[in-house]
Amino acid sequence: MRVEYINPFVETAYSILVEVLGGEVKRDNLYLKSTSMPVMGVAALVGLAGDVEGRVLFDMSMETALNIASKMNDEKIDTFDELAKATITELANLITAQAVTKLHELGFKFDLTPPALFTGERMEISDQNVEALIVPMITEQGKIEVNVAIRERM
Amino acid sequence: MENTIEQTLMQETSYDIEDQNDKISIIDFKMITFSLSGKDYAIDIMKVKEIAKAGHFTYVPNTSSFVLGVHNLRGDIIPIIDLRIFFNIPVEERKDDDLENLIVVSVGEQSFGVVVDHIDKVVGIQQSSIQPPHPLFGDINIKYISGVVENANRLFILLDIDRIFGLRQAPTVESAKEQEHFSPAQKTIADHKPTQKQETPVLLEHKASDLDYSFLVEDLKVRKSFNLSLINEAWIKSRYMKWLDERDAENIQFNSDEDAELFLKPFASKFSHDFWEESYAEQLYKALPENTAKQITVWNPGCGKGHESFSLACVLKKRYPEARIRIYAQDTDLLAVSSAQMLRVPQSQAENWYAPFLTKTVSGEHVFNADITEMLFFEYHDITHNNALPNVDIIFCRDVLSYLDKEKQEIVLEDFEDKLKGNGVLIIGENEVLTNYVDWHSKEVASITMYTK
Repeated sequence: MRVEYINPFVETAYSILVEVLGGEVKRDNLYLKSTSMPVMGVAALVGLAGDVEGRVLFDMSMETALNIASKMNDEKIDTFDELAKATITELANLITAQAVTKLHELGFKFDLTPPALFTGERMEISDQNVEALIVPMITEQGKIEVNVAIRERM
Repeated sequence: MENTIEQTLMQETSYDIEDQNDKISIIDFKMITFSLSGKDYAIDIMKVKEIAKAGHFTYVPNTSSFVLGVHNLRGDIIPIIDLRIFFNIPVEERKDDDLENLIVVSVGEQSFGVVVDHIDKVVGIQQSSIQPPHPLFGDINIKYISGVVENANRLFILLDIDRIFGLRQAPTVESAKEQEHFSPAQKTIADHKPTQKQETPVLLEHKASDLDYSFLVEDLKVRKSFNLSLINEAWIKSRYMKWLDERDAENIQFNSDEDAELFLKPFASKFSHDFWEESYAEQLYKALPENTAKQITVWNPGCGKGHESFSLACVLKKRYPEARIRIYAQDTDLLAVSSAQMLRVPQSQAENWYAPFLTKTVSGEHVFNADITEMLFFEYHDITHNNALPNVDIIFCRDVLSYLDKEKQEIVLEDFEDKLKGNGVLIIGENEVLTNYVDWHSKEVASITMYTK
């Protein structure tokens, strides 16, 4: 993972989360993970294609997802319904879009796919040949892991 | 062999003659006999699928000399092997339109066609009359012979087809060996030594007898994540001897991390975390092989704060001025690698050999110019993970392998082999060696040791 890619994601994840959730957001230590990774419960995935290709995955537990959806909609949401799903999808969109804008300014050009949302227990996502950067964010609503796996096109 | 013991016991009994008769009467093993340059050989009939006459084999380029080509046997394409060439037996000149005598053997699921001089007949014998091969057999490497059989006053050498054609499903270490059975017998003998080297990774137990530094090894692993392996064993051994001279008897063990650091200090290659002296840059310049490719890709794992990567970039720029050079510099230390891009060159270094590659910022600091920075891609990456690198011409990986777990060292070395181009070179730390690895060949140019595949 080129070091240039890392900061835009870390910065935007932080600033967007602070903006939409209010309260304190802490960043944990970044680390690298090889290929497959278990998903905590709810995962929003945004694909990237262009000069750089890969994907960004926002991973959180169901509880965190519901907390975030409740907070962002300003109402208590108990079931992971359409509204909750749309909210999490939007959050993923917000963060990725802003990070991509920053990367655009640095001269990397690529497109985004609309976010896809995955929910379920004991899921695992694996992609060959790409190493993922994990940016753990601790919010008052719970932990969100931003999982970035991108590489230059060969 | 069981059979022979049984046999000798039998022979010693007084019923000698009766037994001899029994052996002739009970036939439990049949073999096909044939000749190679006038000598008699045999193959277990159960391995033989059929006998045929065939010729005009389709030549396959770039195969070993004993592979005559492939043949279409009623729709099955089978490889054709000439046993005479395989065993280095002289072959009579072949006429173009001649049909060859072919024994089709099956090993596992694969069939092979074996070309021999003459096919004789099927001979039935008793299995216990097969005698083990004598080490003096010269013609054919002994491991390909499963025994010798006497029949009608002729001695037949019974070939071990499974061994000749190799069992691919053999376990890892064996498989390398077995595959070599595809090469001519003599080559196998020549290759035998390096293969054996690989088979003896019994480092600790073996060394512990003459030099007990295993306690240090454990400590190095815990304190400095430095792992003893074939790569650095020689260095550790010599360093330990010096260490014994340097320290008092009570102080041999590491009392602190500093001690471990002191021990490892001489391990570091020259200027591995610092700017290079001109002499080293010059040596590397001379050592780098000729390469006329337009694009040269370099892999520099463990780049740290970037001193090494930038210095390497300068040397490469000088060495290959025409080529487009890309250096993938990686490290697992996020802070170090993030700051690498902004590396500043101190005034003391700015006027030596780095000078042509530098430029000044507005604030008057020396930094590397655009030509150099454009070559470098700093990445936050763990080399034990999958990577998306293209094939590379140069791998510059000093003092990195020794700091990985032993298993990971193997994985990374495999990765190196996989990614390095055929004419590429690998440079590892000055105190690291790959001489125990058969896949790597070392050469020393301008006092820099490089490895090729």
